[in-house]
Amino acid sequence: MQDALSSLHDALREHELLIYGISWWILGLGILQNLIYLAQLPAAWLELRTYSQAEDSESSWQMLVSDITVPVTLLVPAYNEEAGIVQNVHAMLALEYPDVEVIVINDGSNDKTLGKLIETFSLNPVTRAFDPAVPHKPVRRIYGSPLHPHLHVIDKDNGGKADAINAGINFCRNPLFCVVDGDSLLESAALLRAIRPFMEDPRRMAAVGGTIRVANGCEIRAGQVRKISLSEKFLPLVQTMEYIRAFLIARLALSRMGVLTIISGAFGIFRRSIAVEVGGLSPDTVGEDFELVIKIHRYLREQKRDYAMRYVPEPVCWTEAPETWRLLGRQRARWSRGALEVFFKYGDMLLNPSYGRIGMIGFLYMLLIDVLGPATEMLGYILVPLLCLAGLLNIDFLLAYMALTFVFGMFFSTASLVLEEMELHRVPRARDLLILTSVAVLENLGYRQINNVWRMIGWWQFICGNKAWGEMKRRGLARA
Amino acid sequence: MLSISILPTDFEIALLLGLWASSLWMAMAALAVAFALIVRRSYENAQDRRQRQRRAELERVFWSALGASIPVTAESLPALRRGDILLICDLGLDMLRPLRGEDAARIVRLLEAWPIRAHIKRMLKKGRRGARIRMLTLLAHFSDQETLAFLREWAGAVDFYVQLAALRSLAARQAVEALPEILAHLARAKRQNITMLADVLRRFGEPALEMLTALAADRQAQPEVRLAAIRALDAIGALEAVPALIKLAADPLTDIRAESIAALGQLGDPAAEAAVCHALSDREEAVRVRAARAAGRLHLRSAAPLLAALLSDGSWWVRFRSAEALYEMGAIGQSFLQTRSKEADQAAHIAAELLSEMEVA
Repeated sequence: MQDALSSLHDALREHELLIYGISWWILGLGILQNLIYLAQLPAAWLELRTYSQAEDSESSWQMLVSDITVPVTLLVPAYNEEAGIVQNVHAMLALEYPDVEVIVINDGSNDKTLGKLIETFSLNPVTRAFDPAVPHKPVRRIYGSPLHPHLHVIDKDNGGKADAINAGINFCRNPLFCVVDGDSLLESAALLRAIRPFMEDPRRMAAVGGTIRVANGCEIRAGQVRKISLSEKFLPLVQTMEYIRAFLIARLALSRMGVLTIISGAFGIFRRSIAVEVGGLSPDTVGEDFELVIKIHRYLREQKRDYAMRYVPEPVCWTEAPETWRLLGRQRARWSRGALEVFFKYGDMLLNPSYGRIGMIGFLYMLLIDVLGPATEMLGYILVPLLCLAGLLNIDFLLAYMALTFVFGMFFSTASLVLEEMELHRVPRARDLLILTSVAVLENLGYRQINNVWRMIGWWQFICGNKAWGEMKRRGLARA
Repeated sequence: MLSISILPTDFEIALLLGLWASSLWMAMAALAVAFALIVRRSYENAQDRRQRQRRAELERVFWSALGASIPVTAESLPALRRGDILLICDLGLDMLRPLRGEDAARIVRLLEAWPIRAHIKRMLKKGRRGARIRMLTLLAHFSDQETLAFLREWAGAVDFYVQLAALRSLAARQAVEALPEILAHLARAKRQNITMLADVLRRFGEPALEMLTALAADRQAQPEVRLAAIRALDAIGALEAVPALIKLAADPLTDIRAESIAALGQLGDPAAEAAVCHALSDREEAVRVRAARAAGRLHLRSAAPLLAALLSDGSWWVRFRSAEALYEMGAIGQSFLQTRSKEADQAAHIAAELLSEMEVA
């Protein structure tokens, strides 16, 4: 071992300057990322304080019983969702909202998704005039329900999620549409809460994102989360923590700074007219939600239009998180690939002052976190300990790198949890908080590194031009 | 031990140690706060359980007092424990929500038998946003001058949702005389919620018509507030608002024109015919769409030629709403759509689509 390290030491001595540069690049990027995360905490807290609806159930109630409202269409793209689609549609029809229409788009499922919908809701073929504003694969048939006049089902050829949403946009007759995944459950008051920014700023608000949370472990009956609990399995638990961190800190902070670059495809509300103006969603990317938001930013900036986008933390959409390493890895690689596709597709916006904060801050953030982050962190895990062992780097360097990745990671996750508990109180029991605090510590020791490997796989898939979604098996939220 | 060939400078060593130490301290501090919050949560959950139990007891007191044949006095009520007043206010508000008239008055009398005013004052002064909103909502059910003065004072609150709660309660108490100062407060508000504001303004009802029409016409006022006033006029449904809305249909702001035309369509007064027909030729799509809908609702036969021309409009929504309006006009419009649908242009396409949709429906 000693001999091997000696020979490595000798071999690398000739490249001291290069090693010095790479080492400080790794550390420097880590410092920069952590400073960004650190700045996000007060920004997220301020945003929560300014717009919090957490204690204001009264205003939502008054809105529910009001005669004056903003009509919304729920677009539910569904591909092979037979396990949970009926329950989810029931839940959407029972949402606390005075004027909501539900359009389910069956994207050429080859299971019983359509059959179950027809049977349960007594669907009949109907004709519905529609505005062919954005392109999509051919529609086979449209169904309406005599039991639920506000429910329509569009059966179309398979074209992917983006294509399905585009079909929904064309058939939508309300000024706003809300995209909800067919395998997700909206909390009953979620729409009432999420719609508020559109009421506050109707002329400027282009899109609003809500919170996604992990439903695994929760008790679900009749399409509603009846009891919030944590899963007993490690993977859903660690994803619960990740979702809290990603939504409560990152998105809130980006929203505060006016650089919200992503609104989750599982729960986002968009102004239809703007979605049409930008040509709808692009079916050629796996990060279609990300891409739509960036496309809207780009378009509205180029048009020099005054607009806003907001993230609202209180409305919650519950989703089923993958429970196996294989499925989770596939999902994370796809997310990483989606982010890269969007970044490089709109790369000319990076540090381009004509795109304002989005170009100067939003794209720089994407570059540091999504593009350079995974590779640099991976390089650090391999190089820093190796160079230290070879005696080419000081032990203080190793300690500092560990502090940046492991210790700061623990701090950031725990701080997210603290903010969540102080402002939102969404974790119901003290015991659950304790478990999540433990997860906030443990996720940095192993899981974070594996996640980084998945993100690198996403990089590789992106380089290889892989466009596939990959199969995501769902058990259905009733059993989650 | 191998020698270190890249020797860090003093500055670099200080930086590296600083990174290590600061990260560690931050992590330890965050963990300490998290543990403190876990302990607090544990205590709060236990307290919540006790409060739920106590709330159930107090609810029984409410029901038995309401069912009593003799008036309830403070002496006849059970002694209060610490924290009961908060529960009583919340319980009272929840019970009052679906009630009106004498039932509501009895609950208010019962609430008044407890010393809740001091609590309400304290919550309004020191409570958080949610508590303030609930207290102001509760005051809607009172009828004395003191609580009215509270509401008028809070109608100028900086927090828009607290302000809205006060306005809503003032509307529930039909305090129309407070409208001028309310409108002055709204003009200063930094944040708005047009939909909720419209809902509050319409609760003032017909006595507020004059002030609402003046507000809607005031070009110096914020456009959001003007839009809310127009929506309120629409929701109140009084035909007296029609002349003012007709004037607003010629406003320079697109949103104001569109909203006024939509309101005229809803109010259903044939006096709006000329304004609606004129709006069918508006340069803005949003106005033409609403004008077509209004023409359909008002069954304006004089608008039929214009609607027929709009079947070839560049906007799908204008074409669709025009076809819909023609269909709503009855046999004449429908037979026109039938004839038109046999041709081979854009207008024919929308006419055929609309007829098909209506027939299946």
